[in-house]
Amino acid sequence: MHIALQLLLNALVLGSVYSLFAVSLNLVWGISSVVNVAHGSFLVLGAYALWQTESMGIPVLLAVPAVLTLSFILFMGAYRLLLRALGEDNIEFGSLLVTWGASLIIIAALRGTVGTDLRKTNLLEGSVTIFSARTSLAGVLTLGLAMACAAALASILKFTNAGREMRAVGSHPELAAAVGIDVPATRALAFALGMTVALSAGMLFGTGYVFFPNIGDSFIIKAVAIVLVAGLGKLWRSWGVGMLLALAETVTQFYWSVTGSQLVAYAMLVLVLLVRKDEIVRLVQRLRLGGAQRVAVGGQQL
Amino acid sequence: MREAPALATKGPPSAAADASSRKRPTPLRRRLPARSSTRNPLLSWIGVVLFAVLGVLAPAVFYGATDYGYNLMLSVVIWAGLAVSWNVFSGLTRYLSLGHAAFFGAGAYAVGRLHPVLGPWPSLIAACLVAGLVGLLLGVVSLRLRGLFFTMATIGIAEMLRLGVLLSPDLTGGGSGITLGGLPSYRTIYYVGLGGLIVLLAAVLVCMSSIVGSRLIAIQDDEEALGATGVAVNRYKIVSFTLSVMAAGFFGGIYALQIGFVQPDAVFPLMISLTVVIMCMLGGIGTFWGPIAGAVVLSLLREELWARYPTIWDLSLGFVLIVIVLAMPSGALGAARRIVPALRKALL
Repeated sequence: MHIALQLLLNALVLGSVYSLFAVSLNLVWGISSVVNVAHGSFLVLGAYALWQTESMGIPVLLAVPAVLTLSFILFMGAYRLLLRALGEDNIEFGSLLVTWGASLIIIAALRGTVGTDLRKTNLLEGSVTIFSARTSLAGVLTLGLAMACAAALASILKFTNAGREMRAVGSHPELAAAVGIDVPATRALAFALGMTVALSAGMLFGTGYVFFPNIGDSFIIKAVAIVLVAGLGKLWRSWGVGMLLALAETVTQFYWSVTGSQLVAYAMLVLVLLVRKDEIVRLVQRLRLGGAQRVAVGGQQL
Repeated sequence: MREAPALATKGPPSAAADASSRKRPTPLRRRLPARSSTRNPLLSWIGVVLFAVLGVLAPAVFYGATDYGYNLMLSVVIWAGLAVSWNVFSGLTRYLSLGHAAFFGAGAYAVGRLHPVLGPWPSLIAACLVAGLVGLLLGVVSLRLRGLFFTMATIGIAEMLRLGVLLSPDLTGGGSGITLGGLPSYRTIYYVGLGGLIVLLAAVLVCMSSIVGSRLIAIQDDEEALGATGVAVNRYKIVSFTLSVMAAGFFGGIYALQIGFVQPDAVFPLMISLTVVIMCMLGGIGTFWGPIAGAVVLSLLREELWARYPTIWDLSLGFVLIVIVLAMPSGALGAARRIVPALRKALL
């Protein structure tokens, strides 16, 4: 029982970072159609930004909002540039390659300037015990702040006009344009929002965990797996899948090995890509139908 | 020739399908789209022969037949082999596989395990077969997907293979890898590798200048329409994928023989697959000479930069990728094809 609680708590803390990160990727991918492979490197950038401001002595409460606001503005510009450079049709595949190049550059720049040593921020020391499960104070902060961030994001999407437009563009861009929504502007906003959330997920990660430049690589593949399992544009489903992945990983790590736990994410990705939802639906349909109905359905490509 | 099925939703059958409206079929030369570089195969064959001669002479001419020269040229040969084998499937059908390193690694590990038992050359053949088997299994499973999802699946599978190797130390030596002993001289390995590359080039040229090549390109355009004309599309995809990864496995084996040490992080990482893709894109994806040109340029650059300034290599790779995607998506060859006629018109 004690083990189960401990695993659950670890999974919750890890999952909050995964889920926040996956939701931000879903925002960027589902609404702005940018397959951002560099998302992981932005996570790392966020962690390094936090570490840098800490070593420069700037108070965190001042630095974090400043960095986030500045990056929000930068990202809005970046999206416009990307859209103009790639063109509307090419943006999915083109952005995959361009962002991959960008991530190579970012990680190389980080390695060159800051070095590959493991780093940790010292903002919060100490541990806390909840119902006989131990975790660090930073872990609790991470969990709390991630939840707060998610709640803020949810309320933006639900209650503001901009959020509604984002949801509209995410589910059906052509109809959204027909209703008079400025689709490129909304996409730029969603892109900037998603990237800023990724940076803040990185900062949260930096408070509790040790990091180094290449740590973003494992994050991005897991986030892609989460987004594909949950579905593009299904933001809160990706939150749930992220938590599930963290749980599966924590449990696998405990009972098997660390390497085995990494396998879980890839196995999930490959499995869900192969066993597509529509095939399951069609299979169930085919099993349930009989006789003449089967022929009728068989006319459309089953 | 079968007519398109009556239930096809692609519109009324085109006039071209009606044989009586044409006097005789248009020659293959004119049917191939402009992006195929084998409109004049004879020139390409001469090029292959010249390339072989260059390959045989290069270590002696440029590096004085030293071990360093053979090693360097061997790396170039390996990257060129990887690029050409990747391009013949992914470049033509645009099923962009980002897991090519998985088969490279499978071949390397096959040689690593079988070399003590079989000796260098039979284990190379075994490497091809092992990689082909792995490719067949993975291809059957993942070739049902399209576009971005296929790419994601190949990435996932390559990573799973890497983790699988790490997790089974008894079979594969786990993280510490496999060390080989009693290897042939660099010179021998180089000539075997070069021979393999020439055979691969010849095979690719035959494929590209025949109906097979144009069908693979047709897969890129419209798979269902191709299937409707009676071509066994799935078989084409799986067979060409398997053959392409067998070549990758061969060069993985050559790599194992060259370095004498196989470990997961050297043969499986995503960076190798990505570097192969960048080489092909730089040269011109889907063309015949593009991947070789890109591979030679980038691998020479890599050898110079990677040992001394690995950070600069990563940076330049990232820049190259961004520049290619934004400025010349059809690679150097594609850009040349556009510039040369314009130049010719300007000068004449």
